[in-house]
Amino acid sequence: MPVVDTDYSAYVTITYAIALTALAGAGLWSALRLWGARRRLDEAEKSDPSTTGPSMTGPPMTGPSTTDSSRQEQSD
Amino acid sequence: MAVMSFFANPHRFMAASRWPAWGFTLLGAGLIALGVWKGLIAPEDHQQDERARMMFVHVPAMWLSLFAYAFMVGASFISFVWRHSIADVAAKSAAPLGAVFTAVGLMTGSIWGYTTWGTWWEWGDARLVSVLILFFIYLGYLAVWQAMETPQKAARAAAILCLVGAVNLPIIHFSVEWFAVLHQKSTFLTTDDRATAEFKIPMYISALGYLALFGGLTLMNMRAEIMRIRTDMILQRRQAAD
Repeated sequence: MPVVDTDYSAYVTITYAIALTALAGAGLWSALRLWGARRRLDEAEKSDPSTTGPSMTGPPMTGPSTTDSSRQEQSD
Repeated sequence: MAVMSFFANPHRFMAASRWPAWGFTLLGAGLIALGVWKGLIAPEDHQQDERARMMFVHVPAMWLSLFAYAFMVGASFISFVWRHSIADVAAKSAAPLGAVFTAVGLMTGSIWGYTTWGTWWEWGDARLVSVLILFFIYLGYLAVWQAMETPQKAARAAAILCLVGAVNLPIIHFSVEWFAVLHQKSTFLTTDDRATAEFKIPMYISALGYLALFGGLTLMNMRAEIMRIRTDMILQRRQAAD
C-alpha cells in the first residue's frame, strides 16, 4: 500500500511563490522599461535642437490639437 | 468613438495616463497582497483541503490571461479597421503581460493538477491544451512584432494573427462543457456558483488586484512604447539631416 502524502503546504507555498515572483517581475520589467524609454527620449530631445514640439515627458498640451496621430507626429 | 478619437493623439494619451499607470499598479499590488493574505488564512475546503488555496492565484491568472487577449483582440480590431496608432501600441503592450498571466496559470494549474489528479499534465484534456495554445499565440504575436521589416507591416500582421487567434477564446471557455476533460467545470461567476463567502472574497479581491495590475502595467508599457517611437523619430530625423 503506497504512502499517500496529504501535506500539501509545500505545493501551496510554491504556487504562491511562482505567481508573486512572476507578477513582481512583470512590474519591475515594466517600470525599468518605462524609465529607460524616458531617459533615452530626454537625451534625444536635449541633443536635438530641432525638437520644438511639446515634450512627451513634459507637461500636457494645452489648447486645440488634432485627433489624427499621424498628422500630430508630422507636426512635431 | 469620441474617447477613441481623443486618445488617438499621443500627447493627450501621455498626459492622461501618467498617474493612472502608477495608481493602478499600486492598487493592484495592494489588492493582490490582501488577496494572498486572505487566501492563506481561508479555511480548508471540505473536498480539496488546503489545495483549494492554490485557486486564489491560479484562477485570477487564468481569467486575466483571457481578459488580456480579449483586450488585444479589441485593440487589434480598432487598429485594423481605423489604423489607430495608439490601439497598436495598446495591443503590443498587453501581450507580454498576457503571456505572463498565462504562464502563471499553466504552472500553478499544473501543480494543483499533480496534487489532485496525480499528473502534472494531460494531453487529452482540451482545457489544458487550449490554454497552452493561447500561450503559444502570445509568443507568436510577440515574435511577429520583432520579425517584420517595418513597424507598419508588423502592426498589420500582428493584428491579423491576434484576430485569427481569437477563435481560441470560446474554445478555452467552453472546453469543459464540450469535451470530456479532467478539468473541473467553472465554479465562480456561474449560475451554479456554490462557493461560500470565505472563498469568494479572497478570489474576487485577487482577481481585482490582477485586473488593476494589468491595467497599470499595460499603461506603463504603452507610455514606454510611445516614448520609444518618439525617440526613434528624433534619431531618424537627425540621421536624415546629417
